[in-house]
Amino acid sequence: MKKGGLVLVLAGVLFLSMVLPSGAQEKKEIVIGMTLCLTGIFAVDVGTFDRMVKAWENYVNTKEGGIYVKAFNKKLPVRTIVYDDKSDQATAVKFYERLVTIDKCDVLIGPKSSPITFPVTAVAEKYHIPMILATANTPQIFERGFKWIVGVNSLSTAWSDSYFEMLKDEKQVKTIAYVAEDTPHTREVYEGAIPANEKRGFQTVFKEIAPAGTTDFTSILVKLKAANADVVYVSAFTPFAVTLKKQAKEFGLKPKEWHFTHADKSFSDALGKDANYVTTEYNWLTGMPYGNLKKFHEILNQAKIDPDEYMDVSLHYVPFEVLEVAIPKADSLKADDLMKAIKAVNFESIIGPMYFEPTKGHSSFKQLAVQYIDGKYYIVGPKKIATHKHVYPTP
Amino acid sequence: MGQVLILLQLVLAAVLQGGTYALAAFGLSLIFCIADVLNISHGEFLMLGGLVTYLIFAATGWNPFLILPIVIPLFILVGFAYQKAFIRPILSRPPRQLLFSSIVVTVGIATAIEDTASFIWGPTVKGVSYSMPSFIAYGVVVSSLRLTILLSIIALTVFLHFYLKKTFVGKAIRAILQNREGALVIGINVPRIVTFVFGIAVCLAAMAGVFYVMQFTIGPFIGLPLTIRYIAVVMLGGSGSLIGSLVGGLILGVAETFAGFYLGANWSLTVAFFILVLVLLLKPEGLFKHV
Amino acid sequence: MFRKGATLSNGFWLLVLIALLLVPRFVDPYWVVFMLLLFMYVGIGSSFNITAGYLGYVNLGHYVFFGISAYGFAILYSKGVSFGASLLLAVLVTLVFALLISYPFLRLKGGYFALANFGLIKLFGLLAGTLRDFTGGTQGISLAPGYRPYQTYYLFLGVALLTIIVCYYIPKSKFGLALFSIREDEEVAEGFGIHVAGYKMAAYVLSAIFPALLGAGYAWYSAYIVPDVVFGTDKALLPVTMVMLGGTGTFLGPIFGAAFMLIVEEFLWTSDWLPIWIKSLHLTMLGLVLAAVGIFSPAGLVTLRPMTAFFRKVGMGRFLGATHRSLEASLGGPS
Repeated sequence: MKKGGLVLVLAGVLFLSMVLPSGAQEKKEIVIGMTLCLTGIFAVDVGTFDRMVKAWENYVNTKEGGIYVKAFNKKLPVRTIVYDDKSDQATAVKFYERLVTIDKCDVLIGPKSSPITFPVTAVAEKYHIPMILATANTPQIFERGFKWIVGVNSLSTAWSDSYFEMLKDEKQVKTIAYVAEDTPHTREVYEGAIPANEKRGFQTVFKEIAPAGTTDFTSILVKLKAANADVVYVSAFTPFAVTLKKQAKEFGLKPKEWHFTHADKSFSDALGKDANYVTTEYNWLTGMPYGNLKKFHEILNQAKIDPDEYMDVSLHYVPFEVLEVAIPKADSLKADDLMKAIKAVNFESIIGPMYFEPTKGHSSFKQLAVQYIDGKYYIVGPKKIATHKHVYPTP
Repeated sequence: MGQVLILLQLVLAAVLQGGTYALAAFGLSLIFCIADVLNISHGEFLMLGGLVTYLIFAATGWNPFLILPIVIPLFILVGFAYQKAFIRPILSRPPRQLLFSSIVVTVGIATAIEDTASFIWGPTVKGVSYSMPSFIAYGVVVSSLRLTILLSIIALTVFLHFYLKKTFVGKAIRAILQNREGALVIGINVPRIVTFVFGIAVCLAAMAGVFYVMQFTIGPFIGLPLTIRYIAVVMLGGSGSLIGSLVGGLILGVAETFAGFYLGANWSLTVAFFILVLVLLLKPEGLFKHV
Repeated sequence: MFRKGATLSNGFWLLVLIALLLVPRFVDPYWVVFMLLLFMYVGIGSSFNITAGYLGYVNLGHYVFFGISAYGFAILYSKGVSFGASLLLAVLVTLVFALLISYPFLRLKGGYFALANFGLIKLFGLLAGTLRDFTGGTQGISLAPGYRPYQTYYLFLGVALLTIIVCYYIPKSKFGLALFSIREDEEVAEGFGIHVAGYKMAAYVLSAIFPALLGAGYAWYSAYIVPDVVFGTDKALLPVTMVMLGGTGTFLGPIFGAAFMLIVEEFLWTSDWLPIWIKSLHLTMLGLVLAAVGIFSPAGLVTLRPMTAFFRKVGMGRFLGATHRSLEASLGGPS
């Protein structure tokens, strides 16, 4: 069997091709690196975003000739590097280490999920390479005193702020019942919402956290029915949310309004008519008036990604917008200058005004309050960009 | 009175839950008992069954119950193909090697199925927006959808029971389960029956998938966690036993539902697994012997 | 047959060890991280082999020792206990657990044993998520952030070395002989006067030491653990996969399997000339390779004839293990 010998020779070649230093030492391009959860449990939300990243790179290089860099007084092409971290912490850390030390990235974009983000930001901090977080939004990330990270997403504890402020202005809702799925993100949302709401004047009539794999909600539904809240607020991801809503319908639970924190297209597709009038959060929706929409749509088209289906794609796009604004303003591509410029941005991105809190690094962005009405999603809050009036109570 | 109603509600939920578990678990248990194969890709077939249902429903809007007649023959064939391609080559090995090999092969296939499904249809979760109105009986809310599913499962179980007892193939299966060499001696074509069993088992998993997608959501990666739950049912109830799968499923269903209500939803799954470990400590082969 | 070709002397391997000790000074830190992961997988894989390959009991839940120790360490360290004490206590707790669970579980046979242990991972994942006050629940435990690849490299190198030394000497010892005889036929072994239950438990607890050490070390290295990270079922099968790919029951198998998988993954992702769809389907290809190995070469890649020939030529013949011949016979040999 010659196969074995061939395998070994191949292995030797592979090894050499990797360990030998990669060429291109002279600065000819802007290198942006990241890992994405292309496989594994988080692939649900971001599994196709490598296409968007490449489409952006393609657009910027072919249509705009690159990004202007002061230090060279000309535009340099961009090069993006994407690795699959398999939704695994150790793999992500390994690859970010590679992005910095071998691929020599000028800037990094953050990964998805808190367990991965925490150690990865330590890598950026250690090497003094700027890192822009896309979806990560756990407050603790920004409480560690790190100087080399900023994040574009709203903090998880302030997730539904726009929605609750809208309810407060409307003065119709008095009682809220809370259910949360037991995952770090959805828990933070839930834990951030309750005290803030009590300050806003809403009464909490029920609150409970259920594990992520729950398939039978009878015990919760029984208690929810007894609590008889105006609004049932559910902080959960799609599988949990869909199952809960389906069983709630069978149970005959009909609050004046349902709110699900992640009720995107897969949610509404799975429920059909039963998703009607559900409110939720989106970070971007067709109808938003901000930023360079034409470019955004063109890139999404090329990547064949539907923003209504993959809500987070806008959050992954904004870091690139930040770079397009910051790099031309930076004195050079050196880490210090770049970070200074990134922290100083203040512009209109596609999700709205974008600037970073100076000491902690998180952004000013707040999620939109959105309602699903008769098959389409509409922005219902904040009022000034609303595309439809909030329908309350649910007919 | 309110307490009794709540209790009834919980019992109903527990039975529904348990029945769904039992269906998929029985196939797994059959495979294990008749071929000594640990089919770790069992959950993937459930996922595929649900996926096929979703695809047909999205394209045509048909009542998912009516999609069953398409799923059943399709997955019997899939089961045949799966067994012939991946399992048959390893069946002739001695027990320990068979165990190793079956784990390696089925893990490999499970990984490949998950990844390919994610690649082709995307990693997002999918559901089927089919619903039935529910009704109230004696103060207890009954979900017609889940009741219909339960009745289907019961019908299926009765059918399987008689199939195993009365038909030639069924008797052959039981003969092999009881005494493999004896079955060979009296002229039963064991390899062919084994292939057939795979067809049935995979088909049962796929049917469970149809019921699953009607109640919950599916995604490419749900297979492995589900397989673990079904393994728990099989170990609890004893492999190869239809009654065992039912009882095992029921025990887990009850544990989940009641623990969830009284101890807080947090504990539902934990208690279920505790019970499993306990049973295994006391009765390593499970509660029931094979059929 | 083992005599063909010169055997690489112990001196050679000592040089390799020194090289590994010096490596971090000369290469990019990335390779330090890469090697650290390699050591981790080798440690977990080789120790898995003690129960799976040597004793014949496939412990699909081997990874649980890693997780328990990781949590134990994290809980203690975050409360201010020193690194050394946390490490020691975490490992101790894991071993006590292994001891307690070994007696009932080792009464299970074959498939049931494998699955019952696998269920343990899920159980602990659930416990870690539920016992909030103790374990931080699903939000996990966060240790003081730090960047520690170099120290972890040496720690893991040490543990991996320890593991493979132990795994190398077991087949040559009386302990190993007892394990093999139990593997081949338990009743006969008992008949020969071997205290089967005692040896099984010893092997089980022994195999738990190494993942426990690695688990505690990993918690320290990543500084943030949640139930999914250490008790995830997808991760649990990874070391098992590596070992089965490389070769169970052989000393070289787990090492080869771990190296093979890490390198292939590396190659797939960092080569620019591979089309994107191959990269997206890398798991599918891994799965198919695994299935192929299971069907055609169940004793693992290492036992393929060209591989064993190569190893012998290179002078590593003695690493194929004294079990090689009997293993080949009992597993029916390659293809």
